[in-house]
Amino acid sequence: MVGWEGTIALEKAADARLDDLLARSARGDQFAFAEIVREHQGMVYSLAYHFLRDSAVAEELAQEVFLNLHQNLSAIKSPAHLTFWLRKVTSHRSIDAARRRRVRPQVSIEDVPEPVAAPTEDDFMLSDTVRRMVDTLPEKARMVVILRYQEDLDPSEISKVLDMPLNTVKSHLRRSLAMLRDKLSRTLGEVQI
Amino acid sequence: MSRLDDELKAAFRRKEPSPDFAARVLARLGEPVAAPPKKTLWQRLASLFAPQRMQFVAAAATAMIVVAVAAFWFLQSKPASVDVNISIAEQTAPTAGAPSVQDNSDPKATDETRGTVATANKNKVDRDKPGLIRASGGRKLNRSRINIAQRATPRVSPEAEAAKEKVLFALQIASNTFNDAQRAMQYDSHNSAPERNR
Repeated sequence: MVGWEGTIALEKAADARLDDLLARSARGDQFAFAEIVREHQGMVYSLAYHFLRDSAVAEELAQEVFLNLHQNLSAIKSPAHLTFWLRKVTSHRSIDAARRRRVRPQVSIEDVPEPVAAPTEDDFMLSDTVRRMVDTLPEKARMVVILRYQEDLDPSEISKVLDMPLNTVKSHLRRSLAMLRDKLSRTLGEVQI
Repeated sequence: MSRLDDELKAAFRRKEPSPDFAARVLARLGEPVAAPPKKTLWQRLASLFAPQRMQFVAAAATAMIVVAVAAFWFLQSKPASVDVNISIAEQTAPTAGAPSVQDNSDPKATDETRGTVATANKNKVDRDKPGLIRASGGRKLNRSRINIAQRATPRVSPEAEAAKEKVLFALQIASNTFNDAQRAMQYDSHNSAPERNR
């Protein structure tokens, strides 16, 4: 059992380690950069995947985000700044990618490459239904919901990541949740949501 | 926390990419960054008619038409007021032996003073007989000077003023529309760029 002090000490140690990795990466140490990638790949890939619902496209986008990070390592000041930067760039790139896919003709299923990441088995029915309902939301509102529930960010943090007024974030969240609650209660009938 | 919150958290749990993700990122680090291919003039022109840009092109075309119609309307209304001035000036010409109040020999007379004199002359026309001006010295009026004086202070009819105001308003709207369209196109091209760092 780790108490408050223990948790804080662990966080400080992790921050110090990431600080060291950042400094080494900025000096050109590729092993340190690979460590940073491994540390944050889950966050970046999941944001892209939950938004785009395409594992191949999400992996490609996540790779580009890390390549972009490598070019901008000197601008990253701290581990917290790194996390914020990655969330911001991934969110904006995902929204851009979704818009491009909307205006461009979709390729046929035969032309789609094999997915790089295999789908996991944790897609329970209700979770899948919830995800499909979130997919119907407008892009900005969808990203707000994903950042709220995947990254556990509060509205003020989301507003900074998405460059959006705080009240807009709150209204997106309120309307999205009301819509989801309404749709789910209609879909599932008497189940209390 | 409601059940919906729990379901959303479960639905959006983090996932890991493929195991060799970091290795593939490192492999791509050495790759040269491909510069976007340079578009030819024809490709740039064709991109103006891409579906997502057609709305801005349509807005710009509408603004152009509004400006053209407004300008045409304004130019149509302008000569009418000039004709009125000329006809007034012509009315003053056939006087004999009457010296003009404005017929001074001062070559430095400004347009403003001439305008005042012209107004006085016009008043005289109204008071005496139509088409005749009686100046104080009884001398003949100089037709060309009256023309110049009348043109220096053209009488602007209320309709012309209203037309001018409408044209200015239309130009303002057109200018705003152009600015909006340009801003939207810039934003659109910025969004289509492959790199976007914020």
